[in-house]
Amino acid sequence: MKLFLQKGLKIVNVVEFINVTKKYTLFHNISYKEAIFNFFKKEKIKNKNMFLALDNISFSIKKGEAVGIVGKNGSGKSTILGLIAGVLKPNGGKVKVSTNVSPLLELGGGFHPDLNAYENIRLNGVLLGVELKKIEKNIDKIIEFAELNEFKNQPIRTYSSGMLARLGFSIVTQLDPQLLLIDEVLAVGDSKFREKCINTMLDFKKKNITIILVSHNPDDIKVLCDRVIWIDNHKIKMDDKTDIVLREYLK
Amino acid sequence: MFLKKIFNKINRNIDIIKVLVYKEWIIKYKGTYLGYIWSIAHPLILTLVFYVGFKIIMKVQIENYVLFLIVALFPWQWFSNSLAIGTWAFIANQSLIKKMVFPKYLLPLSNIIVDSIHFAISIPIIMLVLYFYNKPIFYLQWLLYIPLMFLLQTLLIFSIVLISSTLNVFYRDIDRIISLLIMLIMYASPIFYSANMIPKKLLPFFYLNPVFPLVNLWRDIFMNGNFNLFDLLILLIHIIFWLAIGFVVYKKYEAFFAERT
Repeated sequence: MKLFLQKGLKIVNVVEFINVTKKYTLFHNISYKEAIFNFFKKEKIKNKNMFLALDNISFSIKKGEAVGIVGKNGSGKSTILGLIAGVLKPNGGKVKVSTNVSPLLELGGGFHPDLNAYENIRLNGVLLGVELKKIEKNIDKIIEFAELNEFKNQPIRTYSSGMLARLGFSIVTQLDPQLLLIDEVLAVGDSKFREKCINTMLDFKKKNITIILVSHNPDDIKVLCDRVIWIDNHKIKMDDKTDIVLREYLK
Repeated sequence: MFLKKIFNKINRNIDIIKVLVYKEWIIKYKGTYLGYIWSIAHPLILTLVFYVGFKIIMKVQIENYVLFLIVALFPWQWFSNSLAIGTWAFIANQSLIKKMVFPKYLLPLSNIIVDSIHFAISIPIIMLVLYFYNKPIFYLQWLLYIPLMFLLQTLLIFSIVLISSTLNVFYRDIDRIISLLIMLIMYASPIFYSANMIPKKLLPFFYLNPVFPLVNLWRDIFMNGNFNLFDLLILLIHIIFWLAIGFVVYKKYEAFFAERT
């Protein structure tokens, strides 16, 4: 019975951080001697010249939850998303993710400026783990959702940042994600598209899809999230219901 | 279930290679008018330079010298191009690496495949030159030898580029070293001279160069329809050696690409 319960719990938690620590090596600090030396050493105590981005953080996110992450610039919010997406590896602790992760939705990331919208959708979609056949089936839907019909054959270096955000958002949302990671994209779209994005995400919420949103806009978070994690100084300062955390955070 | 997983993984990798090769192809020719001509211009000009320098001025005693040069310079072009461009594969694609999780080694591999296509479409030019020299322009054995050589050369470049592109993420000096190495390897390979002109005593040292057996093999295949098993053996040893090193280096540093590029 107990075993069964544990198993059940594991499925419910989509994302789990257990004592996660992430450090970045500061640039220009590794000498050749060190590098050759380090090659034969295990990834252990190389603490000097390291920047601590996340300090022993633990939390878990259940399936269907919509969680906002707030905090100052450089406090470690994007690092958390990077760890969930699997592009970054923690230096200590464990990150467990139990669904297909959609990518980090950031501005302009993951595209190639010389390719047009179609080609970027294929590139992006395939690297996200979607089959090429499925992308081809959805490609017109994606363009339409992004409202880029006029510009679909232009290389995306000619796009404005708002158009890029629209394209990125459309790709991720039109390809059945199980877990949405969104890093401050809503800010650049115009108000009409922003509304569309928020409506899409509310739909996702209804479909029990987990959403993790990094944003500096408390209004977006209020509309979407049931729960907010406040990262301050590389640690979790608060983790509670949206209005409780936001009240403190906005003080 | 297990088989299906492997099948899915292979399918996904093929999809990734498709989109990456397409991307590289587009980028290579963006804004150029002559496109494909540029990829054959380089070896053809080199052929001309070597012909004037070595045949007309220094009067080397090699028959059919233009043919002799061309059958070596086209594969060489593939090797040197892929090495030079592949070294930047991870850095050039940092926006993809930082956002998405996929087998990153497919990035340099796609560069190599793009250059292999260039080489493939330059084979008709080699046949044209064969025709001018009244040589057979086709051997039935090619159908076996040439695909095999494509595989071997791809593997060889891939293993070396795996090392150079990984290290280049951390030390940009690698790029300088690679450009020097490309020049050195070119002169240490039997491109404008033939292997049997090298003094017997020195020959073993030349075989330390992985491109040495490679060029020998290509030339023998194109000019005589032969496949030299000794060169094949040396080439295989090189591939296994470099692939092992490349694999270890890549595995060791791969996890840090997203934060270091």
